[in-house]
Amino acid sequence: MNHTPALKRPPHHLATLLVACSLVTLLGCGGATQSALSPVYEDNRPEVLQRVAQQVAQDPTREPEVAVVVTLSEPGVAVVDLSTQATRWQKPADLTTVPFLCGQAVVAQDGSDVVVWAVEDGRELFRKSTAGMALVGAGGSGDDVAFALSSGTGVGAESAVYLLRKGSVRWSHRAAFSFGKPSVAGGLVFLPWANQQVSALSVDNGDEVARLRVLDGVIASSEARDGAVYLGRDLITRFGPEALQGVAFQKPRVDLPAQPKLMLFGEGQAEGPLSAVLRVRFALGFDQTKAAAPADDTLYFAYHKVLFGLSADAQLGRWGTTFNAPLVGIKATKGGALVMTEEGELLGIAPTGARESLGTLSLGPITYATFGTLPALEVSEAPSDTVQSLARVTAEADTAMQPARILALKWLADSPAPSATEELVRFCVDPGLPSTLMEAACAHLEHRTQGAQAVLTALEQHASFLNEIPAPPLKPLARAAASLKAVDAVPLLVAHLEDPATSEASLPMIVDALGELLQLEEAAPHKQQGETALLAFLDQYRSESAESALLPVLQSLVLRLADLDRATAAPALQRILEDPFAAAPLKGTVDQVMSQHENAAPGDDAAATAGAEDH
Amino acid sequence: MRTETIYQGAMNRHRVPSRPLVPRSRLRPRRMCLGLATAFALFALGTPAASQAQELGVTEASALLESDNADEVRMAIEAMGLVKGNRGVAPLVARIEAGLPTNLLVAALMTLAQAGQPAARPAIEANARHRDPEVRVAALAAAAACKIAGVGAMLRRGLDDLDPRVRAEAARGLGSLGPGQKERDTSAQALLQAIAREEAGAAVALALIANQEHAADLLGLLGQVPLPRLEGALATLLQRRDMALPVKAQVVEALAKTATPHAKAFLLSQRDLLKAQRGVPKNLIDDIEAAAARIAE
Repeated sequence: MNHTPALKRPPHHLATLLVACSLVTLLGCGGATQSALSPVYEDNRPEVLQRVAQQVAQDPTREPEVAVVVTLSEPGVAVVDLSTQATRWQKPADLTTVPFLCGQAVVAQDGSDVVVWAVEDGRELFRKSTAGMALVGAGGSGDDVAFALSSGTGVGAESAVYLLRKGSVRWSHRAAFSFGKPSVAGGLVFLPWANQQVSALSVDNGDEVARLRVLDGVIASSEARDGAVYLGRDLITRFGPEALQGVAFQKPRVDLPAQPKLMLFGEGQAEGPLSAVLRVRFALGFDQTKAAAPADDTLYFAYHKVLFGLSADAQLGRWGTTFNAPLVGIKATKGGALVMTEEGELLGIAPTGARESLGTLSLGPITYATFGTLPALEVSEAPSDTVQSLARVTAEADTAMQPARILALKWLADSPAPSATEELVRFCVDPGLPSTLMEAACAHLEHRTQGAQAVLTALEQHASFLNEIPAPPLKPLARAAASLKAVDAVPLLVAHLEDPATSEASLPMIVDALGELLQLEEAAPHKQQGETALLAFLDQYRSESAESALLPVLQSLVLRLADLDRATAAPALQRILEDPFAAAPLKGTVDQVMSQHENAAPGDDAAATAGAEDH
Repeated sequence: MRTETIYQGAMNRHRVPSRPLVPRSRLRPRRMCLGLATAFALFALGTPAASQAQELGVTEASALLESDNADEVRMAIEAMGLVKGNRGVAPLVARIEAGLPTNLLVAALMTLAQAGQPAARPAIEANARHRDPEVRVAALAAAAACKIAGVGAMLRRGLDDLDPRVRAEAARGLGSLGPGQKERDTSAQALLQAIAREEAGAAVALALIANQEHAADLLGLLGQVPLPRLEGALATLLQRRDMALPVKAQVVEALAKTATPHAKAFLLSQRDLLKAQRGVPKNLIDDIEAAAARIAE
């Protein structure tokens, strides 16, 4: 809970107010009221914010149960009933921004005009040139529509906000700073401006009745949902006194592809229907019992044609699901999400990842969809299994989905389940997978603690020219076997140690894994086999030259053998010292190990004696 | 003869660069003696008293094998290769088991191949899965030449090796074991698999061990595998004296059916080769001529 610095400010003096009034005049803030959007305003008054929040709760945004879609084959906009999927109307348009559903109206930029159509029948209610500015965003409730225009986002940006009622301008304000995306609820327009302020303006006359200033993050967009107004960009906070306490839902600190913002729009011209920004995005419903928290503790993350269900902090990927076509629209609420694909298919998605098709529109390809009030989402399909669903996304054949596949693999690896190990092995040994994914799967595999059977099965495979079988990725498999303490891997690792198809690069890991496993008590049944194989390997290759690629392996093996049974290793080490062809570096390692033995031996004896005396 | 060719090639590949022996002043008395003994032994090999020289060679070469000088060990290995019978085998096997650098190991295995003694088995088996492919090649060559127990399985495993040199040697080895080898069907199956994987040499090897059934399998590949890759095998089938005439007739007929200029040229070249050999049935040559005549220019 952080108090914003705004609360610590000293009270305004009269002189300050006078200067402020002069500034307002100089800046030319026009419109119905002089007081609105003034640079000096007594903001962040908890009792005022509380009153406004209550007003919104009593008079929430009213939106019809429709989808507004942008069509491609006949470029334009259409409104579809969500319950029947029947098209209410379709209009040709040259949309330069996405359309916004604003109560009973649809607002978009058509060429260089802002156009307002009636949701009911598509009547054009309003058209006005943007006069060199661009549509930033719009919101509405019932017959009230507010839209904001801006000439840019930087210092000196010209902006204007308009309130229309049934298509007629009721009031407007202009300012010399940037506006964000407005929303309408409780008889008020919530207008973000200058990245930090949000003014609540009366829909009747434009008077500013409250102002919230947030210093914790950028406030670019506002959205009225379920009796509250949410504000933000990389964080989301609710308009109300709790925002002063720093209560906000922060964008998860997770490295996600394209790094989407939590809230769309509000920074300069609204995105066009084909913008890539709209294909990689978050969606969340709001838990009304909390100031700013995702409903169902679920954050939805869409990446083109993949949708993930994440824990609210996005640290945990709970499920992933792939669609036939990219997602062009998504809206989440408590109880699930509604999505639309580029093919016009509508699907209900449960917070568990279960999905159900609700039908397909007959409007051809859709490039963008936005939804009003959602129908009740009832998904009968069984909840998705985390591992299986993420594995399916990882295995997705579309190479364009690679960032999503890597993400799915990461979340898959977070699962400690044995089935996750099984999937990681599958991806690690799949030569058909892009190398990045294969390497990532192998890297994740090395740290598994459950699911040894899959590793053992993979280790059973050996390279075969005749059967066209490649050598398995032994480095990660050997490490995984050691990490899993899979003592049954000893004979399998021995077989790979003896297989000439095993690469030199894999041998150190095999030697290390055998060394680690053979020290475990559970490995007793395999101890003799393992040690004999290691000694035989050392004997067979001890005469290798100093230039041999095997030399580091042999040195590592000497060190490992020293950790095992010294009495067993000693003759093999002695043979190296006596071999006239053994490389000097190898002899050096043996010398080092043997002198360590000699130095350690008296201490060991002393310790053993002390132990005996204690008893 | 073939074994010797391999031996020479391998020996050249693995010859230690010629360098002076350890300076005389640093030679210990034992090594000096060995050096002199070797010089004498090698000189003696070229004299009329060959048997005496060879007798001396084995003894001295055995001692020289224990040298810690690579050149001397190489000389000893080469000297063992000149020893008739199996007297050189045991010292070589012992030396291999005691450990040798790769180049000397290859030379020693090739010497064992030349000796062709089944007693070499332990050293061959121990190195058939050596990490160095040239050692594996030498071990397989030795296994085939010595016809050690289990050679078929060893060679079939070699056919599955990832290194093409090892596979080629394995195919050659399987072919050299001839049609009388144990588990011939298993070997033929492995060779057919190798042909499908475009392993050069597998087709000729199969032709060398084939019975009527295997020959039919080979002919079944005509049309699937380019003729140039099967020419060696088909020629082998036509020239094998132990192959039944009807099988040869099937080969000729299958080639005629391909009706390609290449097949015609091949048939005519085979006719000329067989004509030059004694004891080839005239009707086979007639069949070949007739088949070639059926193929348009």
